[in-house]
Amino acid sequence: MRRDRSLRIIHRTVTVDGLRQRVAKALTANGHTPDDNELEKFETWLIRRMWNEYQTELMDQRILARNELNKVNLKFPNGRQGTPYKHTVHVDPTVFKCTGTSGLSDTGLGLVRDAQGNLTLSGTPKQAGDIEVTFYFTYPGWSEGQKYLERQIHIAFNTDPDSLWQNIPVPEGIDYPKEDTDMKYVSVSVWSDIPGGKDIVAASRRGRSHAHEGSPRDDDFVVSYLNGDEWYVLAVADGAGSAKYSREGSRIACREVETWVRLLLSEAGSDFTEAVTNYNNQPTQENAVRVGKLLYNTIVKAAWEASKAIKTESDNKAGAVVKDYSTTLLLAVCRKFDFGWFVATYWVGDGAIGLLMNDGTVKIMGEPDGGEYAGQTRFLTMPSVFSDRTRYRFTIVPDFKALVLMTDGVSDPWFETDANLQRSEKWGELMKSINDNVSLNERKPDCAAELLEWLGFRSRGNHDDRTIAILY
Amino acid sequence: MLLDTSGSMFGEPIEAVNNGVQVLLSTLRSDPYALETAHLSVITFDNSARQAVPMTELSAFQAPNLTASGCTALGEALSLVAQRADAEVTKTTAEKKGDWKPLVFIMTDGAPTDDLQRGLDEFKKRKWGVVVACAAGAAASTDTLGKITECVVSLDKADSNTISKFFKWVSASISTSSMRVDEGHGDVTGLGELPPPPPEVNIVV
Repeated sequence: MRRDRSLRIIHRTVTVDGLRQRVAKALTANGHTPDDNELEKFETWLIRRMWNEYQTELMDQRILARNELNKVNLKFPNGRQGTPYKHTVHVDPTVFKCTGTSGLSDTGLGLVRDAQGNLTLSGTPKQAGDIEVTFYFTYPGWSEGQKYLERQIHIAFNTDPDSLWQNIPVPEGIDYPKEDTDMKYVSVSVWSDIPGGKDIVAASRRGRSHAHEGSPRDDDFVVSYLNGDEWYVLAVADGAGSAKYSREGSRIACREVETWVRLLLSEAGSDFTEAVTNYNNQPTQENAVRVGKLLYNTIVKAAWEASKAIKTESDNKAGAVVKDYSTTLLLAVCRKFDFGWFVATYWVGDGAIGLLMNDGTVKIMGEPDGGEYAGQTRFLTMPSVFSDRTRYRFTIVPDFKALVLMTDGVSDPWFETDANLQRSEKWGELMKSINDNVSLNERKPDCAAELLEWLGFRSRGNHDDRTIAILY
Repeated sequence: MLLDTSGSMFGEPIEAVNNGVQVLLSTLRSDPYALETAHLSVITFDNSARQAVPMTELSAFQAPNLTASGCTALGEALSLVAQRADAEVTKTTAEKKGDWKPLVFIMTDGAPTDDLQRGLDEFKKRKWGVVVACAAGAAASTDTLGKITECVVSLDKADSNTISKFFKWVSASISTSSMRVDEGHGDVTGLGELPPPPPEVNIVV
């Protein structure tokens, strides 16, 4: 070994000397005989120059490598604060070997590298926001002591949207205050002598968008059953978001329509029973018209009276106009006869009324107004709605599973479009979700609280007030 | 967002745009409405137009690193945004509520160097929400932008402060629109429905 090494040193000296000799020889042939000093200077110059060239070439190599590295797919998706994050990318280690990262300290994340070139970032992001991570790599031609190549990446960790929604209380002392939630259970089945009697459960809650701004709930509802006349009355109303007193509009609409419809139905009394019975026995056009007329004089008139009551309120309120009380109104009245259930509805605005049959099919008891053009719905406070004679419907069925009324805060997330409202499978999904969360079968008042809780369901981009009333 | 990445944007302006996009993202990510509903796409234009980021929901969006060189192919960018909208914006059907009409923010510091009319014809065939065109600096032609939309704004200078103000306004506009659609008020169609721009952003009448 030792011998070899000394030999190599000798060999190198010889080579350098050989170079000098060859340079001297070539120059002499050209008519200049260099002395030793000149030759040494030339040699130094040559080496320095070549060294620089060599360095430039290394640099070029680095630039080429950097360009290549920039093309390598080093994409890490965004994550969510507090939710475990793990993503692996692969970088061919025979070309670019990762030596480490910076920018991960205190982020909750760490890097794991393996021999196959898999780079895994994992951990639970501590904070929301952007992080900038720098990856360091060696590259072809890299040698110890040279700088690594770098790649910077950005990853955003999103805040859980749930934590971004604020729950700001409604300011004290506003006109027409209203509780953020409301619920009611009307128990009929357990004590009434109607065979197969039904109960009502209803709930209403302030939407996330209202809570986020500290604005009050604009929805309202009323549900009741009157022993004696045996009419069930259900109404839901959605005060327009853009109208400043719409919460009161929806409240008046529900209270007044209930009061009036009860009064008018009771006045119609035996006439009503007779008309419905006749129609059931002989469903002729003539008999249908008779029921229709009675409905016009009861439920439509009640809606009209409710709209008048809103008008009166707006007249009495300084600086208010009736438009400030804009509200939708969905009303259903229902009563059991010997031959089956009579259901009649009145519908202004968006939302939905569905009669779910025992076989899983559904009858939509009216048409939503302007659902396709959001924001262009009709309101009870518009006089034009009363020139429209298609707003009320009735039907007689042997039995049904549920009569459901809801404001658009519920119908939008579950049905999206008017066409879907006709599809029984969509109603099936809605009822399944309710049944999974509300123990309707137990027919207990607790159902109301469960229904209220259920109304808090998550749906992207749907944060309006939500109200639902179910007769079942 | 249609962003000019031509050579004249080199240096401070393009850095300001990169920062502007970053700030826009972090601001919107703290807005629950935007986080749940907003989707973004970036199209850049220089010698040609390129979709730097396809339509991506805000939470998954990663800012592109924009560099500036070349000319100003604004016409091509308009055709491209029209094509991408056809492919990436969901239409409303009987069974599915589609996306809201896209808002378009165009920012340029110069005059188009390609055939604007051809792109413009394609662009005009589509339905948009608000289209805001921003002339950044004195060299940008507000007259040309006026052919694209009636909502033209101008920045006196294409410096980092002014550009950052523009992006803050864009981000506030996106927030307002996502809140608006959430509350069921429908598409945003005019400048009047967006928040008022800051003093650095002039409305061109």
